[in-house]
Amino acid sequence: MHTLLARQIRKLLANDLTDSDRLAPFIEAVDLAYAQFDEERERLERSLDLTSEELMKRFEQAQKHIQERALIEQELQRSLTSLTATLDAIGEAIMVFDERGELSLWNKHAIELAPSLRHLVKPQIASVAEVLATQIDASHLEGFYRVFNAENLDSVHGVFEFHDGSVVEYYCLPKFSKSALAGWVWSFRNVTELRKKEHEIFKLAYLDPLTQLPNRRLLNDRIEQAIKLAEQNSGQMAILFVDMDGFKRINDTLGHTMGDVVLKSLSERISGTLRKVDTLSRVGGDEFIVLMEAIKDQNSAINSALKILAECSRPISVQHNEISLSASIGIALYPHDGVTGDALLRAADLAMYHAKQEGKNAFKFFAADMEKIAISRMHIEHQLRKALQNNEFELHFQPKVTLSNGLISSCEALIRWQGPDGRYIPPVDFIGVAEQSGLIGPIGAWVFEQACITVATWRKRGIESVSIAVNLSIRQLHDPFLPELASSLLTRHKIPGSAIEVEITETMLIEDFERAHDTLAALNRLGISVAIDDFGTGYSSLTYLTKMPIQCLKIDRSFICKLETDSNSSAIAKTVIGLGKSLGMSVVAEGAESEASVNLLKSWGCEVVQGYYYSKPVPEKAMFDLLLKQPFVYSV
Amino acid sequence: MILTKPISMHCIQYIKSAAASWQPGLPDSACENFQLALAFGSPAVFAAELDAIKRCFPNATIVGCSTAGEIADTRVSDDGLVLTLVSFEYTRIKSTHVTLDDSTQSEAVANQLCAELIEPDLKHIFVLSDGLNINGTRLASGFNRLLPATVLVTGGLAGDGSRFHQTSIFSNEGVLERQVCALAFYGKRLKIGHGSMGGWDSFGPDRRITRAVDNVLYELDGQSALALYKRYLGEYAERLPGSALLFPLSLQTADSDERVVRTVLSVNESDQSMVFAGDMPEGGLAKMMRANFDRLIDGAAGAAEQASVSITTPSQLAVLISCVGRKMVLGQRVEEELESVRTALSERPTMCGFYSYGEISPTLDSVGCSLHNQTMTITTFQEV
Repeated sequence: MHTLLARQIRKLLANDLTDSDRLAPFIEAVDLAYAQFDEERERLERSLDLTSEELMKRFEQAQKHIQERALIEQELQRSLTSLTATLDAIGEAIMVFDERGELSLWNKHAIELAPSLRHLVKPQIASVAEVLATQIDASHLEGFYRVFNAENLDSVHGVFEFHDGSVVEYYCLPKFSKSALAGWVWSFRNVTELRKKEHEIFKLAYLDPLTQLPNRRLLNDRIEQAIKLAEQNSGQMAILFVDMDGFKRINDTLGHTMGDVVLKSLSERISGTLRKVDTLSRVGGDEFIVLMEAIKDQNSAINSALKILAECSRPISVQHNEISLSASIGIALYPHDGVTGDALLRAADLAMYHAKQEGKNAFKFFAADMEKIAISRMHIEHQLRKALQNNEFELHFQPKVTLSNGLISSCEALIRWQGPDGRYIPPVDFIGVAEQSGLIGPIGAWVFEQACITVATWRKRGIESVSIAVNLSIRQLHDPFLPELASSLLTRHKIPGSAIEVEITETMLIEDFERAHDTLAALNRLGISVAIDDFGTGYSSLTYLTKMPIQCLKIDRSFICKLETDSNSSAIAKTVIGLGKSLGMSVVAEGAESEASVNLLKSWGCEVVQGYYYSKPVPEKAMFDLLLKQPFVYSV
Repeated sequence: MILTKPISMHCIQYIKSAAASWQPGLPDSACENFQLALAFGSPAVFAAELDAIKRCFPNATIVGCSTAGEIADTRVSDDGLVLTLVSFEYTRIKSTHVTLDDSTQSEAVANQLCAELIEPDLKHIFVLSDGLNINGTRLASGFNRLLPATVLVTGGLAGDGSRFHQTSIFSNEGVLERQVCALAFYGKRLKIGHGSMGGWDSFGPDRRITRAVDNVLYELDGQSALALYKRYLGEYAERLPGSALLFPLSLQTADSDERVVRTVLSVNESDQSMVFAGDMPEGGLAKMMRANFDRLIDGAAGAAEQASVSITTPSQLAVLISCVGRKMVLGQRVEEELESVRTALSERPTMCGFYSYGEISPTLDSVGCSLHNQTMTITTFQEV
């Protein structure tokens, strides 16, 4: 029984009532009620204790969390400060967008880039469209949004062109929180200056400064690419090597500035004839190369070549001068003529060379035999070099005979090359190569000196009245040091200038009139006389003849050998003889083979004759014998 | 002149205590006018008296269940039987029951019951369910899914004293185990009122449900829920699961502001789990509750007032289903809540009912019914 109830009963109820059966259920109920209240109270107290204990524990935890949070916030603030400083220290504009595309962080360079950010206060939000709306076109922003909408998790980069003309490069990197996309980091860099410099560098590296056309390096690059493409598509392409004919004359006569103007004009004209896909490159002074990609057949190349030839031969007006030019074009086809850039360029070059050889102002397709010819030329060139070293050359002489007394007045020195096998190689086979390769210089000098030595020897041996005529090449004629060389050789071998003559052709005079004039005048001053060889075959102009320091005309053998049969030839020969007389020049008839022709010449007043009738060209020893045996006696 | 309508619906109550005979005695001859017999009490007594009941009331559909205390008027008794006979003038009734195989099928059971009972003039469904093997939340949602909004569902989960051992359903067929029984009322002239209220005070911190599967709770705030209960119960822990009723949980699910009360049906020491009468969704917030006598009693009166709102004149029958937890806490004062209900309902209606392991009733604001715990849930009936 509940202690309180027991005490209450003991205190307040009579003893006899306590045991009463009638009261027992009541007392039991009251006892239960007391116990129930106690239980209830204990339970309540217990729950209150536990709850307060739990709440205290939670409170302590919360306090701890608050402290930790404060520390974390401090740490965050520090990180943020250093992040901001770092971002500002980076030379690029940084904008950080969250996963909804809203701006959450930016640095001071971003404000410079997009001044609208200056007025943006956190947590105000701005889409990237708002940030850059005034700087770029809406179409750029579409690209922006594509990045956001396409769940693209790769980095993106590209370039914006701002309205003010500046070029801004951007990189966009997705950022992740754990593995979930948490936004994008955009960095922007103003590359306007860099781009300009890059462009300049590109131009310097890849463009010809005069014409702004691709240079050889860029051309090679394009050719390589074109070949790759053609390989894949089994396509054809053509390379046109365009070389202006006689352009050097423009520079020499009008000066380089004018020459450049002409070149620019030419480059524009050639450009105008081409398709957009073709590449025109300037690879040398007056050399252009056209790369024609994806052509159907060689007709495309022919058409282009014809157009280019037409454009180049149209007169060009430069400072009141009308300049007429022409071009020679060599064409190489891929894959027919070569499958590498080098092979194609060489083939086109060779073809161009042949176009020039065959008269210029024309185009020529590459042919396999050109290669053979080129190889043979290379071989000859090699042999020539060796010949110079090994002294394989010798001079032969052909006398010029004065008709009036049969005496040899002079003799023409003709080079002979006796190869290692003892066989003579005719000049026609190697002079061209020597001229092309530049070997004509040393060879010419050798001939000049050899002539001097020979004449000096003869003089020592008593033959004093005979001079030796030396053929000059165009290179020698244009060599400003030729008079100097001649002077030193005359001095070295102690002979007068009158002991040496030089022979040049008509065409050599036309090439560079003034320089030729100067050189020849200088030679004249040394006492060396000048003869025009092969006269009558070139563009004979009286103006040249009168202005040039020329002392002798040599009538071309083609007229002399037909004197008896062809009235035209005889008329020309007669005229030249008359012309020489009236200009005060001596006239030599070259190629006289018969007595009849000699008689005819003499009857027309020709003074000197050279030809087989008297002697073929002979070695020095034979020539000396002739000199000893002279005069020639002939029956007239 | 005021015309008084004759009362068409009629109720008579018979009470059989464990030791004594029926009070009043059952009629000698068969009474054929009663269509419904509500029987709440001991399965043993019901089984023993079933033949007599059927004999006396041959036309009555018998519906009832085992209890944790049967209610007759304002009195609570144990281990007896309270039999309430109802005759309707205009209302038709029909009952059916479905076997419960597994608690996961609770929703399917409701669907089966609805399929059998839905008719155009269906007015109300009163459901009595096995109290231990049911997921009351699922059962309620099963009804809600199929029934039109105009048909309400009230009822409760059968009890087994404070033993939580075995509950049963009563019908004309006898005592049935693992059953859910539904009683349907048809007709336009029956008015139904309902009310449900708790009156518990929540205390202590909110606790997050961190591990639970359906109605099986494992952890609160990452700690064993069973261990928490044992701490709070102290020496009463030995009396689990019954003693857990002293601390029901106030539950707020993650997607709702409304709080519902949940009580424990059983505990499993082997996996430290506690089985509740309804779902305990993970992420929800649970707060312990404790009794406050005055508020429990006020709560009962509140439920009665709610049940009277929709009924214009005093009803003829009130079925009270109150939670076993209330009875345990109120102890000897348990009848005070019945008295407060009587005061609120007036002297008119016959009151019967039982202390249950769970109550089913619509909440005031929402459509459809739901499971309640620790409440006084009242359904009132009136024919007009």
